[in-house]
Amino acid sequence: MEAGQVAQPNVGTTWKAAAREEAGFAELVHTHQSMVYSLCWHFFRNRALAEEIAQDVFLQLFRSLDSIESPQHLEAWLRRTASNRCIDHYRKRGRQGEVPLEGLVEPASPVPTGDPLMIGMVRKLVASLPDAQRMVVVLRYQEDLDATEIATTLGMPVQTVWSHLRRAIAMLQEKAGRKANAAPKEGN
Amino acid sequence: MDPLENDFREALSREPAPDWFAERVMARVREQKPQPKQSLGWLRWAAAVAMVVVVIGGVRFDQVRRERLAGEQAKQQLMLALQVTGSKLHMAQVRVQSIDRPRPE
Repeated sequence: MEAGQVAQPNVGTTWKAAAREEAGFAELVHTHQSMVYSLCWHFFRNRALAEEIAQDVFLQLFRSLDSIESPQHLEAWLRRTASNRCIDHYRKRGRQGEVPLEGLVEPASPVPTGDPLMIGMVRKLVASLPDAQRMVVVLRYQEDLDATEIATTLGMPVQTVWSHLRRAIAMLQEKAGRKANAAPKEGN
Repeated sequence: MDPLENDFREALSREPAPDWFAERVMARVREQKPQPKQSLGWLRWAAAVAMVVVVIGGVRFDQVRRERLAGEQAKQQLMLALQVTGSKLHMAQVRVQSIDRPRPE
């Protein structure tokens, strides 16, 4: 199954009725927990904070089930709510909840198959971006959304999304280049 | 595809949530469940009381309105009677004056 495509529980007209039941809602949490938790984790790089905010998102979902129209709407709603909660939390509390990036131990969860050093470096670089740019990059590459979908999710114009993406990638390339240049000097 | 994009995709792939995540969410959901029931109970009582107040108020308002209407009607009838009486008295006075007045020869 591709990223962004998840199995929908109880597809059809009865899915909402099922979601109101405890077992149905638990199934819904299981289906979407990775997406929601991961958005928060890539944004904060702090497991406790990511878990707290992701739980809050699902509690909000439980209270807002009546306003959800379909499984597709549900997924978009979760993405939007998680993104906005992360950005709001970051803006209200600043960086105090984040773990310092230097010396950060990578989590014990299964790491993608690529170069672990490169993966760690990219994650650290992404975590150093300004909040809106960081969320745009996470939605782009974790959720595989295009600019229009990101714009809808974050409630910003498509041009702003493109601008954030361009700036973020330029900044990441520059920082990655600086790190690559610094590495041989550190080795000497 | 751009190798940089590939790196991003790989580094930002979905992280699995902790094993206990769903259970903790459901525990918080269970904590919240009784609250809507309680508030619904209060809401039901409040709605019932409000309905009784509205019905009693409506009946009382209608009573007052009817009484006022009856009063207005009685007042109008009295005014009419007074007018009739006044005009009859005036006619009688005119007649009496005409009797008293000496007739020209």
